[in-house]
Amino acid sequence: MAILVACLLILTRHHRNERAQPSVMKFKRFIYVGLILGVGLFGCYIAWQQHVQSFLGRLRPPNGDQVKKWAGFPEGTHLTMFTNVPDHVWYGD
Amino acid sequence: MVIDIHPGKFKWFWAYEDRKGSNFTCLVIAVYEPGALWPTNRAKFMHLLDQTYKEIQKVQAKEEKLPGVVAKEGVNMAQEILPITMPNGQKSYGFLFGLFSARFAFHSEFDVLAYEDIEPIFNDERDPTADLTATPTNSFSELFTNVDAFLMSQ
Repeated sequence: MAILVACLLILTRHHRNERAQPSVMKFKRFIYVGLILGVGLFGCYIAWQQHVQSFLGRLRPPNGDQVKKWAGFPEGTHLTMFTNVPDHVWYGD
Repeated sequence: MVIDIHPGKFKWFWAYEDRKGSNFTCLVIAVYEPGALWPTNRAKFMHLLDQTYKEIQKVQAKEEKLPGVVAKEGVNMAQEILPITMPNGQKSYGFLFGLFSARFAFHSEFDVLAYEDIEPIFNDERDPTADLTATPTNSFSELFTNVDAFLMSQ
Protein backbone atom coordinates (compact mmCIF):
# COMPACT_ATOMS: atom_id res chain seq x y z
CA MET A 1 0.00 0.00 0.00
CA ALA A 2 2.84 2.36 0.91
CA ILE A 3 4.53 1.61 -2.43
CA LEU A 4 1.28 2.31 -4.28
CA VAL A 5 0.81 5.65 -2.52
CA ALA A 6 4.42 6.60 -3.19
CA CYS A 7 4.03 5.76 -6.90
CA LEU A 8 0.83 7.78 -7.16
CA LEU A 9 2.47 10.76 -5.46
CA ILE A 10 5.42 10.61 -7.85
CA LEU A 11 3.16 10.38 -10.88
CA THR A 12 0.90 13.22 -9.74
CA ARG A 13 3.87 15.45 -9.03
CA HIS A 14 5.39 14.83 -12.45
CA HIS A 15 2.06 15.46 -14.19
CA ARG A 16 2.22 19.08 -13.08
CA ASN A 17 5.47 19.52 -14.95
CA GLU A 18 4.33 19.78 -18.58
CA ARG A 19 7.82 19.91 -20.06
CA ALA A 20 9.30 17.01 -18.22
CA GLN A 21 12.83 15.81 -18.94
CA PRO A 22 13.17 12.58 -21.02
CA SER A 23 14.68 10.83 -18.04
CA VAL A 24 11.66 11.84 -15.96
CA MET A 25 9.31 10.57 -18.69
CA LYS A 26 11.20 7.29 -18.72
CA PHE A 27 10.89 7.02 -14.95
CA LYS A 28 7.17 7.74 -15.18
CA ARG A 29 6.71 5.02 -17.80
CA PHE A 30 8.63 2.61 -15.59
CA ILE A 31 6.36 3.41 -12.66
CA TYR A 32 3.20 2.97 -14.81
CA VAL A 33 4.35 -0.40 -16.14
CA GLY A 34 5.34 -1.49 -12.64
CA LEU A 35 1.95 -0.48 -11.25
CA ILE A 36 0.03 -2.25 -14.00
CA LEU A 37 2.10 -5.41 -13.63
CA GLY A 38 1.84 -5.32 -9.85
CA VAL A 39 -1.93 -4.88 -9.87
CA GLY A 40 -2.25 -7.60 -12.54
CA LEU A 41 -0.14 -10.09 -10.60
CA PHE A 42 -1.98 -9.35 -7.37
CA GLY A 43 -5.31 -9.86 -9.17
CA CYS A 44 -4.10 -13.19 -10.57
CA TYR A 45 -2.94 -14.28 -7.13
CA ILE A 46 -6.34 -13.46 -5.57
CA ALA A 47 -8.19 -15.20 -8.42
CA TRP A 48 -5.99 -18.31 -8.03
CA GLN A 49 -6.59 -18.41 -4.28
CA GLN A 50 -10.35 -18.21 -4.88
CA HIS A 51 -10.12 -20.97 -7.48
CA VAL A 52 -8.20 -23.24 -5.08
CA GLN A 53 -10.68 -22.65 -2.26
CA SER A 54 -13.59 -23.31 -4.60
CA PHE A 55 -11.90 -26.50 -5.89
CA LEU A 56 -11.24 -27.76 -2.36
CA GLY A 57 -14.80 -26.91 -1.36
CA ARG A 58 -16.17 -28.99 -4.23
CA LEU A 59 -13.77 -31.90 -3.74
CA ARG A 60 -15.55 -35.15 -2.95
CA PRO A 61 -13.97 -38.24 -1.39
CA PRO A 62 -14.01 -41.66 -3.00
CA ASN A 63 -16.72 -43.86 -1.51
CA GLY A 64 -16.02 -46.99 0.53
CA ASP A 65 -16.63 -49.34 -2.40
CA GLN A 66 -14.11 -47.53 -4.59
CA VAL A 67 -11.46 -47.63 -1.88
CA LYS A 68 -12.25 -51.29 -1.22
CA LYS A 69 -11.71 -52.10 -4.89
CA TRP A 70 -8.52 -50.02 -5.23
CA ALA A 71 -7.00 -51.51 -2.06
CA GLY A 72 -8.00 -55.04 -2.99
CA PHE A 73 -10.11 -55.86 0.06
CA PRO A 74 -12.17 -59.08 -0.13
CA GLU A 75 -15.74 -58.79 -1.40
CA GLY A 76 -17.46 -59.15 1.96
CA THR A 77 -15.55 -56.27 3.57
CA HIS A 78 -17.47 -53.19 4.55
CA LEU A 79 -15.43 -50.03 4.98
CA THR A 80 -16.82 -47.33 7.22
CA MET A 81 -15.80 -43.80 6.38
CA PHE A 82 -15.27 -41.11 8.96
CA THR A 83 -14.22 -37.59 8.22
CA ASN A 84 -13.69 -34.06 9.49
CA VAL A 85 -16.20 -32.74 6.97
CA PRO A 86 -19.02 -30.87 8.74
CA ASP A 87 -22.33 -32.72 9.07
CA HIS A 88 -24.20 -30.29 6.83
CA VAL A 89 -22.09 -31.35 3.84
CA TRP A 90 -23.71 -34.49 2.53
CA TYR A 91 -21.66 -36.86 0.42
CA GLY A 92 -24.55 -39.09 -0.57
CA ASP A 93 -22.87 -42.30 0.58
CA MET B 1 20.00 -32.11 13.04
CA VAL B 2 16.33 -32.00 13.98
CA ILE B 3 13.89 -31.70 11.13
CA ASP B 4 10.30 -30.77 11.77
CA ILE B 5 8.32 -33.25 9.72
CA HIS B 6 4.92 -32.23 11.00
CA PRO B 7 2.73 -32.74 7.96
CA GLY B 8 0.79 -29.53 8.52
CA LYS B 9 -2.90 -28.76 8.86
CA PHE B 10 -5.12 -30.69 6.52
CA LYS B 11 -8.25 -29.35 4.87
CA TRP B 12 -10.10 -32.64 4.45
CA PHE B 13 -9.53 -35.91 6.23
CA TRP B 14 -11.17 -39.13 5.10
CA ALA B 15 -10.54 -42.44 6.85
CA TYR B 16 -11.88 -45.81 5.72
CA GLU B 17 -11.97 -48.39 8.43
CA ASP B 18 -12.71 -52.07 8.63
CA ARG B 19 -13.05 -52.76 12.33
CA LYS B 20 -13.57 -56.24 13.67
CA GLY B 21 -13.69 -56.28 17.46
CA SER B 22 -10.49 -54.78 18.77
CA ASN B 23 -8.76 -55.17 15.42
CA PHE B 24 -8.76 -52.70 12.60
CA THR B 25 -7.40 -51.79 9.21
CA CYS B 26 -7.66 -48.15 8.32
CA LEU B 27 -6.78 -46.23 5.18
CA VAL B 28 -6.44 -42.51 5.58
CA ILE B 29 -6.56 -39.83 2.89
CA ALA B 30 -5.74 -36.25 3.85
CA VAL B 31 -6.06 -33.34 1.46
CA TYR B 32 -4.15 -30.10 2.08
CA GLU B 33 -4.17 -26.67 0.55
CA PRO B 34 -1.27 -26.28 -1.89
CA GLY B 35 1.92 -25.80 0.11
CA ALA B 36 0.30 -26.80 3.39
CA LEU B 37 1.77 -30.31 3.45
CA TRP B 38 5.05 -29.99 5.34
CA PRO B 39 4.81 -26.21 5.34
CA THR B 40 8.04 -25.83 7.26
CA ASN B 41 11.30 -27.40 6.14
CA ARG B 42 9.73 -29.05 3.11
CA ALA B 43 12.98 -28.72 1.18
CA LYS B 44 14.93 -30.39 3.99
CA PHE B 45 12.37 -33.17 4.23
CA MET B 46 12.48 -33.79 0.48
CA HIS B 47 16.29 -33.79 0.61
CA LEU B 48 16.18 -36.35 3.41
CA LEU B 49 13.77 -38.48 1.40
CA ASP B 50 16.04 -38.29 -1.65
CA GLN B 51 18.95 -39.55 0.41
CA THR B 52 16.79 -42.35 1.80
CA TYR B 53 15.75 -43.33 -1.73
CA LYS B 54 19.38 -43.51 -2.80
CA GLU B 55 20.20 -45.76 0.15
CA ILE B 56 17.20 -47.97 -0.60
CA GLN B 57 18.27 -48.32 -4.22
CA LYS B 58 21.75 -49.40 -3.13
CA VAL B 59 20.32 -52.03 -0.75
CA GLN B 60 17.79 -53.06 -3.38
CA ALA B 61 20.55 -53.68 -5.92
CA LYS B 62 22.34 -55.93 -3.43
CA GLU B 63 19.18 -57.82 -2.41
CA GLU B 64 18.16 -58.47 -5.98
CA LYS B 65 21.21 -60.67 -6.34
CA LEU B 66 20.28 -62.71 -3.27
CA PRO B 67 18.08 -65.77 -3.60
CA GLY B 68 15.06 -66.46 -1.39
CA VAL B 69 11.64 -65.16 -0.51
CA VAL B 70 12.84 -62.77 2.20
CA ALA B 71 15.11 -60.95 -0.23
CA LYS B 72 12.25 -60.63 -2.72
CA GLU B 73 9.94 -59.29 -0.03
CA GLY B 74 12.59 -56.72 0.84
CA VAL B 75 12.83 -55.66 -2.79
CA ASN B 76 9.04 -55.38 -3.02
CA MET B 77 8.86 -53.32 0.17
CA ALA B 78 11.58 -51.00 -1.11
CA GLN B 79 9.67 -50.65 -4.37
CA GLU B 80 6.66 -49.44 -2.37
CA ILE B 81 8.63 -46.58 -0.87
CA LEU B 82 10.44 -45.31 -3.95
CA PRO B 83 8.96 -42.37 -5.87
CA ILE B 84 6.84 -43.23 -8.89
CA THR B 85 5.54 -41.27 -11.84
CA MET B 86 1.81 -41.85 -12.02
CA PRO B 87 -0.08 -42.30 -15.31
CA ASN B 88 -1.21 -38.65 -15.13
CA GLY B 89 2.44 -37.58 -15.22
CA GLN B 90 2.57 -36.46 -11.59
CA LYS B 91 5.16 -37.82 -9.21
CA SER B 92 4.29 -39.42 -5.89
CA TYR B 93 6.70 -40.07 -3.04
CA GLY B 94 6.53 -42.90 -0.55
CA PHE B 95 7.82 -43.23 2.98
CA LEU B 96 7.17 -45.23 6.10
CA PHE B 97 4.64 -43.65 8.41
CA GLY B 98 5.42 -45.55 11.58
CA LEU B 99 5.43 -49.16 10.46
CA PHE B 100 3.19 -48.76 7.44
CA SER B 101 3.27 -47.35 3.94
CA ALA B 102 2.47 -43.75 3.22
CA ARG B 103 2.57 -41.79 0.01
CA PHE B 104 2.06 -38.17 -0.94
CA ALA B 105 1.94 -35.95 -4.01
CA PHE B 106 1.96 -32.22 -4.65
CA HIS B 107 -0.42 -30.60 -7.11
CA SER B 108 -1.10 -27.02 -8.07
CA GLU B 109 -4.56 -27.10 -6.48
CA PHE B 110 -3.98 -29.40 -3.52
CA ASP B 111 -1.49 -31.65 -1.77
CA VAL B 112 -2.52 -35.17 -0.85
CA LEU B 113 -1.19 -37.61 1.72
CA ALA B 114 -2.42 -41.17 2.17
CA TYR B 115 -1.33 -43.81 4.62
CA GLU B 116 -2.46 -47.08 6.04
CA ASP B 117 -2.91 -47.71 9.69
CA ILE B 118 -3.10 -51.33 10.79
CA GLU B 119 -3.14 -52.42 14.39
CA PRO B 120 0.41 -53.47 15.22
CA ILE B 121 1.04 -57.04 16.26
CA PHE B 122 2.11 -57.40 19.88
CA ASN B 123 3.58 -60.61 21.19
CA ASP B 124 1.73 -60.40 24.46
CA GLU B 125 0.24 -63.74 25.47
CA ARG B 126 -2.18 -62.14 27.94
CA ASP B 127 -3.69 -59.92 25.27
CA PRO B 128 -3.16 -61.59 21.90
CA THR B 129 -3.86 -59.56 18.79
CA ALA B 130 -6.84 -60.84 16.86
CA ASP B 131 -6.19 -62.03 13.34
CA LEU B 132 -7.02 -59.48 10.71
CA THR B 133 -10.08 -60.66 8.87
CA ALA B 134 -9.49 -58.37 5.90
CA THR B 135 -6.29 -56.81 4.67
CA PRO B 136 -5.59 -54.94 1.43
CA THR B 137 -4.11 -57.20 -1.23
CA ASN B 138 -3.13 -54.54 -3.78
CA SER B 139 0.02 -52.50 -3.40
CA PHE B 140 -0.27 -49.20 -1.60
CA SER B 141 1.17 -47.32 -4.57
CA GLU B 142 -1.65 -48.71 -6.72
CA LEU B 143 -4.23 -47.51 -4.21
CA PHE B 144 -2.61 -44.09 -4.02
CA THR B 145 -2.43 -43.75 -7.81
CA ASN B 146 -6.16 -44.45 -8.03
CA VAL B 147 -6.99 -42.01 -5.24
CA ASP B 148 -4.85 -39.31 -6.83
CA ALA B 149 -6.41 -39.84 -10.27
CA PHE B 150 -9.90 -39.69 -8.70
CA LEU B 151 -9.16 -36.40 -6.94
CA MET B 152 -7.48 -34.91 -10.02
CA SER B 153 -10.47 -35.76 -12.18
CA GLN B 154 -12.79 -33.48 -10.19
